[in-house]
Amino acid sequence: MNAGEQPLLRVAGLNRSYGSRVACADIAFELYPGEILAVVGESGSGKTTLLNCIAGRLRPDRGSVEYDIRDSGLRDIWQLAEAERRMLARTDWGYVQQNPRDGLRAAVSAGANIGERLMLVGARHYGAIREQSAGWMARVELDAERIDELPTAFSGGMQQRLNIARNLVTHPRLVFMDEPTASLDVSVQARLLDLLRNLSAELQVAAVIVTHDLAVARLLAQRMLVMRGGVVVEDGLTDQVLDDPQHPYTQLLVTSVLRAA
Amino acid sequence: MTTAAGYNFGYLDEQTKRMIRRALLKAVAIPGYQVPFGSREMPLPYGWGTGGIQVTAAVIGAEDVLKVIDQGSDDTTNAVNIRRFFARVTGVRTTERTTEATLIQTRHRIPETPLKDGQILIYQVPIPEMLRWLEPREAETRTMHALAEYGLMHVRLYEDIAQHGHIAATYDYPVVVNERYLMRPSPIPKFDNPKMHRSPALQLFGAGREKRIYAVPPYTAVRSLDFEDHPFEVQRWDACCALCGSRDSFLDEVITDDRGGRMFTCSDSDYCRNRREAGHAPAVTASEVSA
Amino acid sequence: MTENIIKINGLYKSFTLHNQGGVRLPILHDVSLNAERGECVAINGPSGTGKSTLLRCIYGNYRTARGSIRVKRDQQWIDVAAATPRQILQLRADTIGYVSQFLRVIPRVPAFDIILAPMLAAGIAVAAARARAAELLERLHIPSRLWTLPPATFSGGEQQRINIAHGFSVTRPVLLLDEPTSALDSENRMAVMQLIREARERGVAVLGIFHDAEVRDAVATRILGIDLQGQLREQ
Repeated sequence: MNAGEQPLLRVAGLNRSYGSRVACADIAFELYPGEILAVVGESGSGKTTLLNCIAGRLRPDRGSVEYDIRDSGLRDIWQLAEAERRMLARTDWGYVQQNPRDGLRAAVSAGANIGERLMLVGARHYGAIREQSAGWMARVELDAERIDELPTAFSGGMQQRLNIARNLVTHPRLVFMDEPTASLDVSVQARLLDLLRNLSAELQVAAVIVTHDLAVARLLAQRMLVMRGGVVVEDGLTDQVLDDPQHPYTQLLVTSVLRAA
Repeated sequence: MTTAAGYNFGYLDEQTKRMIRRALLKAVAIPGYQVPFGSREMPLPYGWGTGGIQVTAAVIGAEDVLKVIDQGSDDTTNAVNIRRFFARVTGVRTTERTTEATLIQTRHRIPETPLKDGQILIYQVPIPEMLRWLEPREAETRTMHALAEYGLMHVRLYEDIAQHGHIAATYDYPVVVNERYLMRPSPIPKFDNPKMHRSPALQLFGAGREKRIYAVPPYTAVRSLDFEDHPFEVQRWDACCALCGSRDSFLDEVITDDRGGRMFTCSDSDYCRNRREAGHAPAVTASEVSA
Repeated sequence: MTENIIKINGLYKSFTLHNQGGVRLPILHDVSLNAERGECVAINGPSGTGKSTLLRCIYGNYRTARGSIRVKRDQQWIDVAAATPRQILQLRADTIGYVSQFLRVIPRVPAFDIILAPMLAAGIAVAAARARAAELLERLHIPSRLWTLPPATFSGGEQQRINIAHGFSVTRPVLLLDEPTSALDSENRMAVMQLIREARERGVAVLGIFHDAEVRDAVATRILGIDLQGQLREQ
């Protein structure tokens, strides 16, 4: 970690409305390489809209989303040609949906799902693609023997791990996650969170994680934004925001968490 | 010129033929690109070659000699009907001989006899979009074509190898035209794919139900997709044609009785007849093949 | 060799509870404090006077309303009260260590790996890190059969010792200790006291809260008291 380092992502003055309803108002933040940022808030607070705007999936009404493109530095992703933006999205970025089925191709095997990005960027050696797929299955704690099974043959937690492997195979520098554990059983959640924590430490991949679960933020993120009604009401170090919340809404969120044991 | 009374030459009205010709010109200019066109109602149902017929009707002239094949054969119902239809609405000469024809409309085969300069091969296409199998959103597949993002096609080939040990697709095998557009060659056997590559003939493709036309101009590169360690290969048979003895042509399996008897014959009926007329005969008899 | 490493000046801290009628709880009042490398400053005072709050402010876990908390890193003074999140993360990575009363258990991570993590993050070679982790666990009397287990099911005392081993695994110039021996027996208290002495000898400035007067008197080079008004004075 170096103070002179350039941010990987810089968002400024980002606005997005749906008709008269404001989903994101004047959002600004920076994300540095290897850093994990949690965006928390209740349903309808605009966190998923924010995620889609910075992930190149939804064009903001105003503001800039600059990303440190390899070789050319910080560039506004919404000023790029569509081809460049799509290339970024399938090489240097990952996107993990809440429901793994939205990210996986149900008609092809686990190996093909993981190998897809490699083929999209030009890999043309079946054996090499297969080897990488099997390697990634092992890294996300899936049995590589099951490489030829369809995603539907895997449990929900396994599908999400498959989805993560599918995203990480091109070694992205930034992964967007939308409630990555919300659709999973609690016991499965813990395993996935631990896996994400290890992968992020090992690969030094930065991430923006949208979640309503403060425990997920505490475990994974160094920093967090608290959103309400399309506005960031508080931001800072995760432990600072959770242990010494300043804004009434953050205090409400923190004190509303049921603590088991 | 003898055409059926009350019809334009070639059945379609002049405005429609003009519209289709414009689509064809664009298709030739952008090899492999699917050009939308205003497909018309034809006097036979979709799936029976309405796309091919409209293309044929738009390019056919009084001096043309027309051949129509279905699965390589000139005498199947579909081929006979379409040949008879054009004979009635244009009065052009028809033929079963590949070498004599100037226009060949085909379903599911490319003739074995190499095509020549000046010939036009017109394919009937059921489904023009190769990527639909994995990406059902039309807007997305069009974007993929626009940006030449074709990695998804290899996902399908990967899956074939993963499930079957080899690329199991035997027909409708994906190709890249002129190193740019991914193209669905219509359900011809992959055996015929190499014949498309740098063919002297103009190849036109018509999809009537889906209202798309595409083309491969003469001498254009057509490459079948594959993996470095699983290269593209065409089918081979242990048997030869039971009628003409050919070992180089695409063979159909014919069931000869209800006790498991079968034989293989050329799918291209014109090619087989030419060989027999030239005195070729099978090295083994049909009964030996079935044994 | 006396070298200042912490300079706290005019620190105020209060909590405003917005969801309880906006009641404001003042905790620290005009706190000033300097600490040098190699000394151990014990913060003393009745409970509720803000001893832990002071440590948490220094660690950047709590935000400060007024005043400055300057910590020296690479010959530069960084004010925690005004630092960016990234600067605080940097301070935590290589300058300020913190041992809290309770271990925050991460699911599925074995005790040994918890202790290893800060050393690996600091770039210590794996073999050396493993040796140091084993040494700490042995000195704190954690039976080796527990090393490979996640500490979620450990007793309070065992969890606290894992936490201590984690905090002492790498040497950072500032070490904050929040009642590190509260749940320990005398044998383990001795071990912790020895660890604190060793840290001091390496030039670490230790700021600690020790509920146990015996421990405090044994390790502290200086004792500061916080009174009920949140003011700090030498004792």
